[in-house]
Amino acid sequence: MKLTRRQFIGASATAAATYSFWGIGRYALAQSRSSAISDATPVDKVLREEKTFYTSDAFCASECGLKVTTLNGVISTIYGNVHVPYNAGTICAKGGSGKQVIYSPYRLKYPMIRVGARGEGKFRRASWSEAAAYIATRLEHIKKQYGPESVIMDGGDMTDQDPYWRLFYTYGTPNCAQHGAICDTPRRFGPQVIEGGMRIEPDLMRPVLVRQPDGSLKNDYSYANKMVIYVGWNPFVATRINYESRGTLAAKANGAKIVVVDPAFSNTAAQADWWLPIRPGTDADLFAAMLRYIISNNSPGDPERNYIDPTFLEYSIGWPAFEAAFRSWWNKTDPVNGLPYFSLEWTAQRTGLAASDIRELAHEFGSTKPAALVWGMNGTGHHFNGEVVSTIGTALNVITGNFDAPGGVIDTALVRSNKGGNNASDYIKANPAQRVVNGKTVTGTSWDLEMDNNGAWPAAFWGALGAYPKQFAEGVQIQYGPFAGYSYPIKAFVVRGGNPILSASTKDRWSEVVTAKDASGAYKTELMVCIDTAYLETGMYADVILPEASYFERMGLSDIYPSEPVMYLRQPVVEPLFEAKNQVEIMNLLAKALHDAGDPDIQAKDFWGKYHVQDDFWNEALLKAPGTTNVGKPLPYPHLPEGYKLLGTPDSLEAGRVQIDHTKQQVQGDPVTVDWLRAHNGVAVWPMAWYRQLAKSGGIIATKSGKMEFQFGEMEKINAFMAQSGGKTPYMLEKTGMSQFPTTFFWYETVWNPYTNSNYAKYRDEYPFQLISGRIHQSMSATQYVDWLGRISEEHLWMPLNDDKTYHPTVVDATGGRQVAGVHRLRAGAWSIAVIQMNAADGRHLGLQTGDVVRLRNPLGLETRGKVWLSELIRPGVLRVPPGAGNRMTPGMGQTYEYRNITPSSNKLLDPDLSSPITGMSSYNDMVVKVIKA
Amino acid sequence: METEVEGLLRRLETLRDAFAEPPTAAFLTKLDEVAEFDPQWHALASAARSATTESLADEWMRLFEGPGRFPVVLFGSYYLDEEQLMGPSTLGVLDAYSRWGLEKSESTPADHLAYELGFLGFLSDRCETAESPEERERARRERDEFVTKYVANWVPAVAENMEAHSETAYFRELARLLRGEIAALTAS
Ligand code: SF4
Repeated sequence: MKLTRRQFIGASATAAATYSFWGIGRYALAQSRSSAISDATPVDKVLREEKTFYTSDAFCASECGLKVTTLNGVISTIYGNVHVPYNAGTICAKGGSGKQVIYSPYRLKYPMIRVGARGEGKFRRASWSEAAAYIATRLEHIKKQYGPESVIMDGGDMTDQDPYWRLFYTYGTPNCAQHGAICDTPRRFGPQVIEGGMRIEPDLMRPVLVRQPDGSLKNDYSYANKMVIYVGWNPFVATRINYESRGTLAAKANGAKIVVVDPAFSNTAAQADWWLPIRPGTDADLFAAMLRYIISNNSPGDPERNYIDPTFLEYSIGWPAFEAAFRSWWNKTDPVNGLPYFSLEWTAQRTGLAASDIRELAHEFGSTKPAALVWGMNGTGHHFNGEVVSTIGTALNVITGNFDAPGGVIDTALVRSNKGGNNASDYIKANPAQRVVNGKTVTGTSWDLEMDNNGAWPAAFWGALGAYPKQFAEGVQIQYGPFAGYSYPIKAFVVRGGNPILSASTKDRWSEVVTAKDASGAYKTELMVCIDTAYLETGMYADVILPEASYFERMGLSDIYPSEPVMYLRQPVVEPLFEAKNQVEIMNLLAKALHDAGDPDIQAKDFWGKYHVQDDFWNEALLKAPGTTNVGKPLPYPHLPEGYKLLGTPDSLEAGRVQIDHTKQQVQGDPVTVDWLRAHNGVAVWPMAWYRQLAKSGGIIATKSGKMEFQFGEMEKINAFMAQSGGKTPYMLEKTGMSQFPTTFFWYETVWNPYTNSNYAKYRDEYPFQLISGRIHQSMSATQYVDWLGRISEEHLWMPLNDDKTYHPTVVDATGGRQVAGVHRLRAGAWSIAVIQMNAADGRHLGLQTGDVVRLRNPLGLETRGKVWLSELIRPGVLRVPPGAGNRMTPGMGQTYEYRNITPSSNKLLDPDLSSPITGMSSYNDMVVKVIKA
Repeated sequence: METEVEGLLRRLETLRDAFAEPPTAAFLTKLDEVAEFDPQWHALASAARSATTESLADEWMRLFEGPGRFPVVLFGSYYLDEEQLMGPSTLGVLDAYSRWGLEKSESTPADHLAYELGFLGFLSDRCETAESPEERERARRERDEFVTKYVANWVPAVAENMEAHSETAYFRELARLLRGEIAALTAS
């Protein structure tokens, strides 16, 4: 039909009385309900509105407290929240640059559905309802066809994943993982088995709120520390335990001695009194030598050698057996160097440190009180034998009397507030399940189908993400528990806010498994979903991308690594841009879609009928805060019963506005709520105490026995569990020569280390360099989000070695008046990129200069390339690169991608077939390479 | 006969819809109708006809939406406020809308090209149809100022980038029409 022009205009304007197209359709500008602002409007109506919010960061795992100002609904400034003792008003450059994330034009804006092949990065825009229905239909198909356990939910890198876990647990899968599994689980193993905790940090958080002798509460700013030893830990540059950066310097100014043990002269080392450039992968050797020296030379009557504080025997079990097992190694001879284990000579040989230095370190640590021995994520947690390191490290802190002593170490996992909420883990643990195993119908719970703990990783926690590709490829084999003998395929992977395809195991291995197809040409992993604010590598492989509200647009709770219970609010500071939604909205939306697709397990009463707004969800989580016990010195609440569990706001507990339940041994004050936090500078702080493990009435130790367990009850339980199903040894544990999980002192060597493990000695000459990674806080994924952070150089790892480059063809000139639709030019030396840090003498020997491009090749034939930076600040024979900062595949938001072909990726060279034998962590820092000039 | 302002509004509407979302079948039908009356739009309509909606949607994503980085950003503040969204210029645009009692309908920043084209349509209409001469004059002044401060200084860059990065005639044509319309408004 042909229209006249008039008719055409008329037809276009059907919804409007006159032809006013701007008021209808997408991008409509409608007449506002409030009256138009004009010159006649009173001045108070047109003045811009400025607001302040106390919230928390989520740009890294530290989750610092923030004070954010908005102007007319737009973020104008980001500062630290001075009321949150964790960071006490300080933030880092990354935290301060959050605007660049939320206001990046490249953030994810709309739901999208894949139109190209996985990995190709081609999507089309979809509506939320279409995307949710797409996901729900496939999840329902998978549930019916393979069982809900075939779905993995990875809650990612932030602690506000509970809504997603709640949804997927209720859907019926026990397989909910999180990024912590590829962060540092070996580092947490020792604290976990010995004291039921996870994360030992020095007592450096200040101020802390301390009960005074006169009964008042005051902020204490004093530092009792006399010695802090950081081993493979670089708090000044790597992931920030924010108070460690400032606290270390303050304690040092107060007379504490700071020691850094690291193959590289890190920024933390630069502030230390003593730097020990250890050979990579030998931290366990150093710790074992310290323990042997301390045990051998302890002399209670001699103030110089009164190393061991026997008080620990009162609150521990199993020490004699642990010590005996430890001593049993002393007469054994190491096949690599022919020396007795843990002797000073043996340790010197392996660590490359002087025997006299090792002796001095052991003596000083033993004789200085208080002292703190702290080991790190990269340095220890990323080695195959990190579990050995953390076990001996925990023992060293405990036997020397430094555990929870003022100025000693604190297991922050044991003293933090609870924000447990209701993520439905209780539901999944009790939910009955039936499966046919070898022809027989077997009954158990959904939890018994959990892929790691009933499969190849009985002692892993948070998911053995590094080993997932193997399970994607081969399917999950349940080996233990009621369903032993059952197997199932992985059919869906839902990832939120993490990037496992780049960071867990190698990208090539991941890519292989998530693009694998069956005979009909369909992807074997039927559904890949990515929920995020930014588009990273994992998103490239997604079938559906859902845009999540950024951390300035959603709610959550933070309580990271504190010395005393602290809980602070992440609250929406601005409205979500585009079509981004918060976690509770996404949970409800997907839940509704599953319900509509016929899922009988998903009901309104557990989701959209219960949590109407996100406050509802987090208020429920806060009911458990702080959940700590009234113990320690000084007693947090002397007017409340000692040893009772505390629940409620600090002010109600302080005022005694409580109900005391003597049966439950519980004190209930006014519940903490989102509104209470909003009204109190965003944060609840409960009082600090020390020696919280000593309380007879129930201390902080969270083991089953309530004592420090040098005889690991947790591992005994797992061994017994395995034994019930025939006791098959998990495949990775088998590689260590152990048939069961260790229940007392244990030892195994790290991998790919020719200096300590005889299996790899043959690679020593051909592959003369040990490759390690060094975290750079503002690089890694951050420069994928924040362009200008890339300009900050750091630690001879992230340096201005960029090539001259032109990019971004969309720029106007400075006046804003004339278009220069040309190109933005980045001169060489203007932008920092990931480099390979190499000792200058090694470089000279190889005829290399800073800026030369080389290839690194490992014995598995895997390669990466990058530019070398010759430096005096690293141990010879060691190469260091920043993880996640090179060879990126998604364009991201900054320039990192532009330099992908000349920047190295250490992940590309890790051995994808090896993970830490107990926790399943990728061995990121165990590899040898040769250097080939490109 | 279509009046001058009707023609302008029709062109602005079509441009706004063209930049609002990946071309839908309904939009392409409408485009054909527009081309019936206006030879200037023939080339765009015929480019659309020789492509599929899928291929146009693909190209749209590659140019404007990604995911990831993409060559043509459709937000003014990207060009005017250091490559970020929600800059001072976005607030300036929002202020202009509220001076006329207008509210945007989506959580997309106010300086998205589609909103701005709609607003130019609104002001062009007011220039002609407002009851009082003062109001018409006010609309004219606002439009001139808006074009100078928030449109003419970046929209031609969008057109240029589209031309540089498009792999299809459709988006190159669209760029040409956009550039022409903005140039005409700037000149007026
Ligand atoms: S340390 Fe982490 S949480 Fe704290 S300000 Fe920096 S990026 Fe944000």
